[in-house]
Amino acid sequence: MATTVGSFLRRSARGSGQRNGRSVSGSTRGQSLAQGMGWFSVGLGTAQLLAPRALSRMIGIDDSDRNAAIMRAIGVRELASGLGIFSQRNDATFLWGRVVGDIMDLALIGAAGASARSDRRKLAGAALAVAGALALDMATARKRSNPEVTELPATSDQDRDEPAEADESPRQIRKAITISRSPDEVQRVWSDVVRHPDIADGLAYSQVSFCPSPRGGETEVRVDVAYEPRLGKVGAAASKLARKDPASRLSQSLRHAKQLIEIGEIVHSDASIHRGPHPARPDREARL
Amino acid sequence: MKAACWMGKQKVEVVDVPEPRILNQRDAIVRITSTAICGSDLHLYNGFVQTMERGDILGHEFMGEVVEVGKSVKNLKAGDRVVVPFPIACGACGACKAEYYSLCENSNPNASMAEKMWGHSPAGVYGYSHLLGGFAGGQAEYARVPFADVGPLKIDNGLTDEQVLFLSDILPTGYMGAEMANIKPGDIVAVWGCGPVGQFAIASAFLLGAERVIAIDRFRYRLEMARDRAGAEIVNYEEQSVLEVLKEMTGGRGPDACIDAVGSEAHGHGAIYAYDRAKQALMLESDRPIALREAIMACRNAGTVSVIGVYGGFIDKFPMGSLMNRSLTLRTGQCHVHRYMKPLLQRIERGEIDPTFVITHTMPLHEAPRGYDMFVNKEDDCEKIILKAA
Repeated sequence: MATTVGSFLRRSARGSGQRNGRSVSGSTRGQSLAQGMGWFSVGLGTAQLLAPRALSRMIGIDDSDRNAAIMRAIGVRELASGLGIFSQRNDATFLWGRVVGDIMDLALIGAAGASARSDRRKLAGAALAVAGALALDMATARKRSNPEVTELPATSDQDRDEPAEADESPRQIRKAITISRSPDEVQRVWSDVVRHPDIADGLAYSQVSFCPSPRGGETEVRVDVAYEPRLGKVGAAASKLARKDPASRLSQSLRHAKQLIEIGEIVHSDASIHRGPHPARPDREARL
Repeated sequence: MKAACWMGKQKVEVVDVPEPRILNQRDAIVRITSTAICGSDLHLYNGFVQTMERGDILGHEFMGEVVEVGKSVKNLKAGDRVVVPFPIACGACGACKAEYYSLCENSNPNASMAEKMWGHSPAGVYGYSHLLGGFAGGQAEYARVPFADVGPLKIDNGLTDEQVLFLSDILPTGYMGAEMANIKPGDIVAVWGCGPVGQFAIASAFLLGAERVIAIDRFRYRLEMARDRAGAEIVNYEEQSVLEVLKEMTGGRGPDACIDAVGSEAHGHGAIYAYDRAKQALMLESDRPIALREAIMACRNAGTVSVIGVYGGFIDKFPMGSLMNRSLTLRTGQCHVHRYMKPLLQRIERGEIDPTFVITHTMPLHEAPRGYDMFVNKEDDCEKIILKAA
């Protein structure tokens, strides 16, 4: 309930941060916005801890001992959330924490609405403010988690590590594996190995390099694969979960290539011949 | 065939399952005569190991008779009697060539899963979760043994199953624990945990030249076995303060080497134990490192801490300051069993060690559920159970 006020004021703070932001560079803007939010949470948390009853009355609930205790607890959360932003300026975790906080506040307001002692009009206003704040907090957290969806061109120093990419542009992945054979030998058999049906798929559109390992007698194989992302973010997340994304397929293909070269076949367990996790119980019906 | 299957937390059932078959050219099918329940199987039993699936066949300590071999297996034939090492190892990758068999780079078909959890994948293991390959285990009438030309040790000297079965895991594991402890003449070694692996670590420490070995546990019958059969001095941690007693016994220095043969489900008492149980219940840590913490704190300056108890995930309150500021060496690993099988078989043949002293119970395979229950509850002074599959 307390953050009803908190979220509302936070939104104001964020608004001014955004206004300031337009005139400064992206990274400074991001930092000052986050800092503003952090300072605000520290201030609000302190007020909630020291004057819980006044804040209760402000949002339309009675100033009972029980509500004061809840208000203080939320004050602690607010303080933690604010201090967290200062210590982890580039981490979206605390921003997501605020989203969770907003949802919690909405639930508490809903509960307070059932009480005869509450001022429903003030509460409705508070709920509206929290809902708005929730939307903004989610948007901010998503931007921080995923630089690609930011409205700003991602040219700032801060964002350079994770460049924004248009969703459908080709991507590159590089993976490496060490094979216990000389580079000559690996190179000689590579073109045959990658034609194996279990391997070819993961190595489509790839470039490969072979170099001796510093230990000698081994080859470091590096493969670059270009791929066209499909089905957007949801598709990418789903395929990653099923280990069917290009990076997982490339790793698996490299492991299989190593097995073919070092031991002459791809190793199976009773579970690996089935799709997905499966009891290690041998199955007569299974086909390789 | 009959097999002991994991059916959920603290639930093992012996059920009828299809027999295994050759999947790779270097496989063998072994008809199992004797198999054992390992202390690390209790981590599965108690539900502390991720990626177990209902129906998974348990067991990674087994031996028996070869009934079928893949076409690339030249060193074995039907009728050969073999002990099977628990890590599955190809013999050809960089790790195997360096004799780190439990780190074989080719034997875990689910390596990607293990990489997510641990950064890199170790070898596949029989009956020990899908994270370690999803291989069917050996508490069954038959098992498929991959890389049969690398792992299985042929036994043709008339020794009994009981004398050689433990070459599959616990004897080499205890031995490697002592070997990693870097024992020099005059050294005092302390061993946490007097289960079968702890007993073999004690015996191995003596074989490797330890002057004195101190065993720590809370079960009187296990301490008595360590004293009477393995030759250790004993400390019951429920009756004495381990750190104080060890200091007193070692002239204030602490043991030169400390071996953790307990692992992730350590017991303790007081606030620290309650703390770890609570954190584990809330999934804030996956393993309870009570013995490991104590082993580090107890160890002599510049000494060695050797970890052979099994851990799966994350621990809390790890005394890194003690480890670093006192120049301790921490050595760990799942046993590279293949390395030790032949030399230890020779020690058994020469009578230098008789591994049968840990066996307290022998029962038919179909009584596996009773065996697990008895072992986990330490009923009837249970130390080691052998299951007879044939």
